[in-house]
Formats: sequence, structure tokens, C-alpha cells
Amino acid sequence: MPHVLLIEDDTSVRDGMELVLRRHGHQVDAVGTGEAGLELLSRPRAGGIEIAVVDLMLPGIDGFEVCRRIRGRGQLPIIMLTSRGDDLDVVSGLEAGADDYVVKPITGRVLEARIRAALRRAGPVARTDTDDFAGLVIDRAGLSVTKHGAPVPLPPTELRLLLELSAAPGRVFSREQLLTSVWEHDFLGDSRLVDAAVGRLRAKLEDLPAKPRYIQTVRGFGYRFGPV
Amino acid sequence: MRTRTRSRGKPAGTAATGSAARFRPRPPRLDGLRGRLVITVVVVALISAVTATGLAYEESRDAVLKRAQSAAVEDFRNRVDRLAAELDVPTDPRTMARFASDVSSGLRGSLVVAQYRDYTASSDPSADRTRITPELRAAVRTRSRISLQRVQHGGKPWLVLGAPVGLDAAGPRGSGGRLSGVEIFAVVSLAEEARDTADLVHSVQTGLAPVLLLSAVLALLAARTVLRPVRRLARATRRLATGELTIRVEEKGRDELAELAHTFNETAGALEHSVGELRAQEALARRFVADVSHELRTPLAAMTMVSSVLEEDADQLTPDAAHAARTVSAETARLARLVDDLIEISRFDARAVALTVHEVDLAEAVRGTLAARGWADRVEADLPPGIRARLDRRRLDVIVANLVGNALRHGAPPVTVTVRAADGQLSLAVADHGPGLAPEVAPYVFDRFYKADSARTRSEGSGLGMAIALENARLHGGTIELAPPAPDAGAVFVLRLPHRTESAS
Amino acid sequence: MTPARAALICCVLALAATGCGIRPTGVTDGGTAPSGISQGIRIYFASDRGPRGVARPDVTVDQLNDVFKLLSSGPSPAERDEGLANVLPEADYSATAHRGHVTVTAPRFDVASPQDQGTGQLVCTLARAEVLLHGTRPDKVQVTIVGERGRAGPYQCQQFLVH
Repeated sequence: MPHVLLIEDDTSVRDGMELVLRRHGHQVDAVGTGEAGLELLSRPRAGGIEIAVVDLMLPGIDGFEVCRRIRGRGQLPIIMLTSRGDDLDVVSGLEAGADDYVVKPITGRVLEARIRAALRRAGPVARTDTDDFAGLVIDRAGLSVTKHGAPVPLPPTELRLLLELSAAPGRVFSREQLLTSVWEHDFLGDSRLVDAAVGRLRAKLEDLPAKPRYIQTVRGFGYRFGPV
Repeated sequence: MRTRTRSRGKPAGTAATGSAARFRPRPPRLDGLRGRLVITVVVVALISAVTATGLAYEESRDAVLKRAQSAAVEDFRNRVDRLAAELDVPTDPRTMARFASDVSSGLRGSLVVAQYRDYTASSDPSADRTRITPELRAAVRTRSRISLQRVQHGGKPWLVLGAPVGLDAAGPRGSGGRLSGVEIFAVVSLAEEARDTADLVHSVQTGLAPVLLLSAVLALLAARTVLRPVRRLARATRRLATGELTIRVEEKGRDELAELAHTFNETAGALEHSVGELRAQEALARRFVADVSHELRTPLAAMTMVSSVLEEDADQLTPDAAHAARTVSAETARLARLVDDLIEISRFDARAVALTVHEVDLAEAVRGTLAARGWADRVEADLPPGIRARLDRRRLDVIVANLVGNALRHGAPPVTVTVRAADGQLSLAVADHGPGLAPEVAPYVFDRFYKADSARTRSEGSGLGMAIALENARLHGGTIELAPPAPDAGAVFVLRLPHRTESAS
Repeated sequence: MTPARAALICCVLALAATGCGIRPTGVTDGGTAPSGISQGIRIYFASDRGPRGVARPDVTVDQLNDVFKLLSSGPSPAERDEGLANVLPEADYSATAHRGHVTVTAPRFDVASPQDQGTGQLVCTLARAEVLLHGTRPDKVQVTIVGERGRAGPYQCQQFLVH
């Protein structure tokens, strides 16, 4: 069962979450500060941690900074924990690189579902061929993306989003569809997750993020890949 | 007085109130302050002018008449005196006629009538002698003095003089002072004096009009010095009434108006202060609710996590413990929902909400909402395809879930959902066939923590559902209405939204 | 002050204004009465305006012939200054009257015509005397002059008076 890193400063919440996660069979490293969490991740092979669940309100360095630093080091899936769900928090966290967010209080079942969804994004895919879109090469088996030969590291959610969109170039996907297929949220999920991921993708893929070629917005309907 | 606002914020337009506009020129009203003042001043001016000129006129008229009469009497006496020297008694009609016309020619042609015994001679036989009244004749007969009388004849005033002519002072047998038996009358025209007095009256009358005009103008000016500050104060009061609490008026001078301005300023200041205090208190109270709710989330997060464990292992506990575990779990969930609702409501109160708008297909959205809660087979949905609108989908879901949930809980099947689009407006009607809402309950149904069914003190909802639904509708620029009760239907709630909405974010 | 009351007052004042003017009065006293009518004899002298009579108030005339003396005395200095003169010739006049008809005998009266001021003097003086003495109505007195050449007249005083 996937190894979870839990960073949450409130003792009771941390204990409760750890309890639930363990009951679901996870191996859990639960710490109370961002520094401690980053320290655990700095062990070789990230100490075996496969996913991080990070609370935003932390003493010392806050959750955004932790997200950024984890993202800086690799493509570990990150789920944010917030008790406010305010616009600012969510958007900032998504821009910092989180794959998903949940608003406390949350049942263990939902948390488990989100963790699994995030991990699925990081896992193998159905098609195993390689597509070349005018210099953007997407290797579905190797789960890698290169642009003009240079590798583009993508976290699992962004990668999964790109794979989904590019699997049917020219087809329009609505945000709800993407939330369901990529994030596995219900249709009521926050479509800002999709927008933030698209934004991050564009920043990495597009020559001119203001005039996107690969991931295009279709106003009133959603996004589509190309036509390039 | 000048109006000025203390803050530099832009002043609220009073046109918003729809009351009497500032700049529409008003026709002068007779019962207004200006009208009353002008009327009073003009009447006072009229009375004083008329009284003063009336008195002056009387004086001058009397003086004119007195002078004219004295002159006439003098002329009369002198003329008769002179001509009497050539008259003898006894005399004859011819002589008397000559005497009369001689006297007349010295009195500017006035009618002269001479009488001796039974002879009457007139300087103008055709002239009317009725102007010499019986009273005058009696006086002349009885007194040995000149008698005079003013009469009106033929629309003109006349001065009638009469006298017995005495005998020559130096005469035989001491006849001085005795009457000769000759009576002489003269009828002098006062037409010229009448014309003079008429001219006087006329000049008084023509002089009145400019005086009245001047007094009216002065009154208007005086009214203006009072009215202008009053109007300014009225404008400031109107602006105060529309909520512009920073408005103040300038206090100039030390008269009653300045005092009024000062009182107004004090009142406005006190109002501003107390409203500010109230608003601050309200803001504090709302912040408190928001803060408390947020604080509650942390222990709730731990409880929610832990109670799910309890619930999963409830079977392995003793029956009492199992019951307790399930209760804790359920109540924790309910508490969490209540806190969520509280936080949502306090966000609306603090106006810290934004719409996340995307174009949605209404039919698809409603179906999704029903499906997500497992209501698809319990609700009859009339959802025409092809109705798209720019909405916040999550908020729409909240509204529909609340309305349908209430219908299912408090109403009776069949529960229907009908979506229509017409005239730039979307309508989503949720109807049930239950007992409906009692009329006394209807006004309060959107109030916070108001539970329609008092028998159910503990329902599934938090009591904030309808309030949150209404706020979500309002955020879109729409509303939720309770349709009037119909005979064979239960409660019908209609969500109305404008067909296109702008994103607030 | 309501507009209605104000209008009413204005009307009342306006009416009062038109009621002014010269009003009739009762009989009032005007001072001393004129006088100067003479009751006595008046003798006539000639002037450039014809025969003019002057009063002789302090003279009593008992008979017609008294006037001749008055005439022949001539005008007083004041009367002379006014241009009066006696043009009757000195003579022995005598007059009689019968029922208002006076006959005067005038010796040395050559011509007696209405243009002659002397005739006028005689006629008017005698007429006045006749009125005084016998109460004849002045305009009924007639005077006949018996002169040298015969009778002239009857004349009346009015004929000689020029106005």
C-alpha cells in the first residue's frame, strides 16, 4: 500500500488521519512541521514516500512553500489540506504545484479516494505508443514528454491531463469531464483545479503561453489539444 | 450656507431616491414661505402707502378747497360790494338783471342770481337754478352773512354762495348794516378743483403700483436670503436620508438658521457615529461567527477522521457502544455540515464571495445534481434540452439540492422540477404535492434557522439551507420566489435567474 | 395672512380710494355780507361813458325840485377826478309828477335828445327822485321834458344808460 507523508500541525487531526490511513493499509509518516517533512523526503529515494498530504497552515515554512520545494525536487503527487477553502488558498496552492486539494473536515473515505486517484495518475496508462506533435513528443509507455528533444518534467496530474487531451486531438473536453476523468472528482469538483493544471502545463509546454498552440481554450466549452 | 461632505468620497446621487428632484424649477406657490412673505410685505406696503397718501390727499384736498372757497367768497364780496354802489333800492328787474350779469362777469361768468322782493334776475336765464338749495336760501334770508354750500349737480361739484346785500353804511337815519332786500347768489364751478383733486388721486394711484412692485421685489429678495439656506438644508437632509452620513452644512452667522445648521450638523454627526458603531458591531459579530466556525473546523477534522473508524468497527462493539459510536459519527457529520453552512453564510455577509462562472447546460446540470444524491427516480424532471447559461455550477447545485431536498422531506410526491427560459430569464420551479406552506409561515421561510415544520425540531438540515440558497440566487442577480398557494398543489418554489450572468471574479 | 384676506383688504382700500373727491356740504358761514346799496337819492352826471349816477346818501329829498340844487352843486372833487361833470345849463327847472309821469320844465333847453347827456342827467335824476318820493317802480318812471322848442320825451332812464 502506498507510503504516505502526512504534514499536519494539529495533533488531534494528525493522529486521526494517521489512524484512518493506517487502517486503510498505508504506511504513514506523520510530522507536524514542513521542515520535518522535507527532511524525510531528502532521504534516498524520498524514503519510499509515494504521496504527500500537506496542510497549508503550518508553523515555520507554510504549506505553499513546502509544495514548491517538493515540486522543485520531483514529481511527487501532492494533496493540499485546507480548512478554509478560500479562493486565495486554493489558487495559490494549485499554482505552487499541488495536484489536488481537500477541505477539512473530511471523512477518511474521501481522503482515501483522493489519494488513490492521485496515485492512479502517476501509474501506467492504457496506450503505449508515442505521439509527435510538431516537436512535442509524448511517450505514453515511458510516461515522458520531450520538447524539441529537451525533456519536460511533469507531475502526475499534469501528465495525466496532457495524455488525456492529446489522446484525442481536436476534441473538446469540458472541465467537468476532465475533473471526472483525470481527478476522479464528481462533477461538482472545483474546476479551478483544471484551470490551474492547464496553466502550469502551458507554462511548461508552450512557446508563447499567452497564445497556446497545444492546449487551447474553447470559450464556453472547455479545452482541446491542438490543432497544432 | 454651503453644503460640504467631510470625506472625499463621491457623494451619493439623490436621484436614486426618486423623490422631488433638486433642479426642477418649481412654480411659485402662494402658500409657501416666499408666497406668504411677499403677500404680507405687499399688503403692509399697500396699507401704509394708502394710509399715508390717503391722509396727505385729504389734507391737500381740503386745503385746495378751502383756498378756492375763500377766494370765491372774497371775489364775491368784493364784486358785489363794488357793484352794489351803483344799485339803488327800490330797483326794477332790468336793473337787477344788469346787476346780476355785471356781478357774473366779475366772477368768471358764474351764474349769478339776484333777488329783490318778487323779482328774480339771472345772469343766465337758461341756467339751472336748483343748485341754490332751499336751505341756502333760508340761511341767506335769516342771516345777514354770506352763506355758502357745496352741491353736486350734473356730476360736477359747485360752490353756491349767497348773501343779502346790505345798505350803504353812510346813509340817512343810520341805515348802515341794514339789509336792502336784495339777495344775491352765485354758483361757482369747482370743476377745476375737482380736476386737481382727481389728479391727486390719479397720481396716488399710479404711485401705488411702483411702490407695490418695489415692495414685492424686496420681499422676494428677503425671502431668498431665508429660502436659500433652507433649501440647502433640505437638500442636505435628503442626502442624509439616502445614507450619505458624512454630509454637513456650513454654519454661517449667528441667526436662527445658523443654529439650525449647527443642530443639523450635530445630528448628522451623531447619526454617522451611531451608524458607524452599529456597523462595526455588526461586522464584529459576523467576524466572530466566521472565526468561531473556522476554529471549529480543526477539532471537527479530527473528530470526522476518528468517527469514521468508530463507524467501521461499530459491529465489533457492544450494542450500547455500537449505538454510541454511530451516534457520535452521525452527529459529527451533522456538526460539520452546520459549520460549513455557517461559514458559507458568513462569507455572504462579509461579501467575500465570488462567482465562478462557466457555461452550463441546465438540463445536464440538474440531472447531475439529482443523480449525485440518488433522487433521480423520486423526482419528475421536465428539463428541455439546449438551455445553456453562464452560471456557477456548484452554487446552482446547492440551490437545486436544497429546494428538491426540502420538497422531498417536507412535501409529498410527486415532486417535480421544471426548467424554462423566456424573456431573458431562466426559471427553475420545484413543486411538491404536499400540504404546502401556511400563509403565516411564508414570509419567514428564507430566514436563517427558521424551520417550517415546528414539530420537527431536529431535521436533517441546518436551518440555513434556504438562506444560503437565496444568497446564491442573489449572487447571480436572481431570486427565489414562493409561488402563491394554488388549490391542488403544494409548495412551489421558483428560482429565477437572468439568462446571462457576468462573472464576478 | 391668507391670500383671500389680502385680496379683500386691497379691494376695500381701492373702493375707499374712489370714494374721495369733492363732497357736498351743508350750509356754512362765509363772513360778512356785501353791502353798499344805496337807499337814497342818486344824481346823475355826465361822463365819457354816458350819464352816471352817484349817491348822495346824506341828503334827504322831500320833493322833486330838490334835486336841481343837487345837480347844480356839481360833482364832488373825487367824482370830478373820475371824469364826471354836470352838463346841465344853469336854469330854473321845475318838475312835477303825476302817477309816475314826471314833467320837467326846462327853460333854455334847446334840444332834448336821447344822445344828449344833459337830458340823461335830468331824466335819470328825476326818475330816481320819483322812485324815492312816490315809490314808483323804477322802470315805470317816464320823464317828459318841456323845453324851449316844445316837448321831448317821454323818456326812460334806461335809454340813457350805456353798459
